[in-house]
Amino acid sequence: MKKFNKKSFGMVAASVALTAVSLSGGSAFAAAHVAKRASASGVYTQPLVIAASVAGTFQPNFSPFQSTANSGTQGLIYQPLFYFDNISGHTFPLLGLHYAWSNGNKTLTVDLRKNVKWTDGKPFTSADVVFTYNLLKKYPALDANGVWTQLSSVTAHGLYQVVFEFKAVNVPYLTYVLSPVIVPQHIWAKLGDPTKATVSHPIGVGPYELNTFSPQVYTLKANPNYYMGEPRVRLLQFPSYTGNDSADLALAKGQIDWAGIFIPSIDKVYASKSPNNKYWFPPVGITTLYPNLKNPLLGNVAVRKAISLAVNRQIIYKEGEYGYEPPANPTGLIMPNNMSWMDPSLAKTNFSYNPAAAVKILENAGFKKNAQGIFQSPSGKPLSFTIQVVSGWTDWDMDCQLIANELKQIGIKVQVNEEQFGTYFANLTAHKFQLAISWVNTGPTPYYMFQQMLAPKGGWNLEQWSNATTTNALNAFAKTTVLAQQKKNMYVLEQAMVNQLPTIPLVYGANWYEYNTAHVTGWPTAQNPYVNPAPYAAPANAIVLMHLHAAN
Amino acid sequence: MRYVLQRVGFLFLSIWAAVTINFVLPRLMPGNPAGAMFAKFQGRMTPMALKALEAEFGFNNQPLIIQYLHYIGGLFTWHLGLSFLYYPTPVTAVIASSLPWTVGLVGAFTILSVFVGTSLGILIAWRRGGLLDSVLPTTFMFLQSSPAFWVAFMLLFIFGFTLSWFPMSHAYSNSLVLGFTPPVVVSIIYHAVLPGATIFLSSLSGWMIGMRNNMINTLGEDYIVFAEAKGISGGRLLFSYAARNAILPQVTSFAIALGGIVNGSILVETVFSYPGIGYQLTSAVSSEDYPLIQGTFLIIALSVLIVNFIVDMLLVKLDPRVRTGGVSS
Repeated sequence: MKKFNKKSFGMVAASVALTAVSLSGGSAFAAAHVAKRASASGVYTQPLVIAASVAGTFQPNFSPFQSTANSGTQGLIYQPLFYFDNISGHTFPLLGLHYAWSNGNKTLTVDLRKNVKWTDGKPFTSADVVFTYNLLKKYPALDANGVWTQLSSVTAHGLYQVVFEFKAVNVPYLTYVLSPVIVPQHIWAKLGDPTKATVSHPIGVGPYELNTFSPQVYTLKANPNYYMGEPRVRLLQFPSYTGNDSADLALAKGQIDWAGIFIPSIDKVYASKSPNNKYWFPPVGITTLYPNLKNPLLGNVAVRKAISLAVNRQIIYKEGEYGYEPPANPTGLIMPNNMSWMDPSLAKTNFSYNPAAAVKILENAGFKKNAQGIFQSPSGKPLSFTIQVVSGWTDWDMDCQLIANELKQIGIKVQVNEEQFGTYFANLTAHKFQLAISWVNTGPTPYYMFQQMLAPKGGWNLEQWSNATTTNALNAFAKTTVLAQQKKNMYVLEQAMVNQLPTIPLVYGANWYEYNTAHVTGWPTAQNPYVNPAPYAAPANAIVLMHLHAAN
Repeated sequence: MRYVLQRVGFLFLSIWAAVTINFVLPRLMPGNPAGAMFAKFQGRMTPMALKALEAEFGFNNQPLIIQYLHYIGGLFTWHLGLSFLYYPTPVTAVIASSLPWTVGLVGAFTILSVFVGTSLGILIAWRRGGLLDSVLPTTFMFLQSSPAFWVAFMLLFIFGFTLSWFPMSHAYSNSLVLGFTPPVVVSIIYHAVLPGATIFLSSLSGWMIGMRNNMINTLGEDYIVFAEAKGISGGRLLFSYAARNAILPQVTSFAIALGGIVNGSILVETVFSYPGIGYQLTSAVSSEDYPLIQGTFLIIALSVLIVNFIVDMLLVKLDPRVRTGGVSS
């Protein structure tokens, strides 16, 4: 995180990412041939050790539809048609090659890759794709992306083309529609109820296939017939770690090559142990303060502006979030990932810490301090709120304490309510809170976050924002494929974030990513952020692995 | 005979009680498994995915009484349901893959600890007031009073991380394919040293001091003095006269310890990433995985009750007073 050079970063990132996408995506066949010829050098035959998370021991669960499946099931064994990356913002064609809109953006036609084979030797065709989507329709429990809320039909046109008909125009939803992994019809048609099927011998199309399994460790081996060429890292090993302490020690010792683990004081306990111990924590989300806008005091934009000015985000970044997650951008964009969507007139806005200005805003809005030193509204209601947070999520608990202390200094009383996750989640989704700290759902463009957070029926509109200008901008964005129009509508949303503060962004949320350069290179870095680098991000994991090669 | 019937009746009653409490307790926890799964993903899962998850785990919304009947019925057929954490893996499969590691590791080192501790207890009681009697109990009391996970982490840090004498985690080398071959067996023993030492060191003093105190009591009895006066040899006096009686409370404690094997090493397993059932239980609780919590508790309850039953029966053999209900014939 500290490695970002924010000023020069964006342009470099964009150009590097473009090179990366042309290597791994469009010209995949060419790349595959090159990889095969050059394979004498760069092949790494030792196992690459991956600790995607500290998730305990394993069960032979390789069903790609289960969120409980072992790491690597999605992406390395099973693959979707396309991958839309939320860090580089790029589209990676996987089983699909191209897609095109027609019929007023209601029909989506996808051309599939030819001569792709399942690892049992059977060919991959449009029948598998149609079968998979119909499976999601029949079993809504599998439809984690809700694709059938938008689709009316999925049909095959020949062996290598699939046509998706949408119920209504919703262009951005294509990233959800094209993201489910595809399973082989000749196997899954016989498995019975796929929500209860245990898959211990997965047959996929990805760069790896299952090699050995035990509850303590499983290994994947390279698929020699992978459509982009056999990966040069030939063997992956996934050991189980049941505690952060033991995983951290193993990482520091260089026993793990690729990890996605949170480590406090990482420079001291990990990076300083070896020059090969590297890490990069790219921002992927925003830790946000949600005001309940149905509360008459918090519904007043002056109060929200005062809160935002009185919160010292640098302290939250340094003390609450271990120095890993810097202050967020007032537009709600995740920088530098979303650089290309930034309204030029807002490019220079930043959150500032200015308690004096916060007090002035409240005074100008007619608030006066009462005997206890707490501001109260002209009608006599004191600015006294509760803030909800999950107990045991220590960084957020700390953030809330810091916020409460800072707001107290300007005359806003805040009481921190730490709740069990279940209670917290129920309160937030039922809008029974005054202030709450939570996340946002992000996507390859900022639209997904704004849609979830600001649309009247958005999935994470906790604050109950409802505004004709932003709703129209969201609707207009979803109806067009023209980039200039999308940007125009995006700018409206950014302006609303800056001027109205429907939610109050605090700091970024990071992805955890540690990597070891002793044996293998080609890793994504802050300078070359070609894809989301976290080992638990699928199918980005396949794209990272296709870039890796032996160090010498 | 009446005693045996009584014990059998008690066994079944307590199993029913354990099974019922086992059903009720996890459901008193706040939240639900889909929410807990959602929490783990912290914003990486969309609200659409939560809907799908709730649909998947939805069978949990039946009335409690129906769930209870299903659960009791499942116990008789050994269908403990599907684990949420490893969905859709059956709970029995999760338990079957983790239980042997725990029973092997904790069982072996508990028995070793009992054997060594009891022997040392007999020895230092015989030579009470000697050098060993003052050094051993103090040393091991210190180790026992330190929390087991602290001892585990110290061993891991010193012998695993700093000196690299022993592996830091897992039950066997990751480069081996599990099977009954000499390298695997050697690797399993090698990997068991540190977690085993933790279990051994942190339970040894209990056995030693317990046995020592029993011995000292017994050695003070009149019949020992009488036997000694009659000129019975030291070894015979020690083992056949004193130790045989002094060991009875140890047998009862041993039964409790055996029952506790299943759950007794949760923290040790977590520190060493040992693929056992103790760790499985903690992750089941934090994921609100009701079926897995129930399955694991069931195994714990059954093992405690059945081992206690066996020991009750054994005591009949060892102590004639139990047979007669305390009335000397």
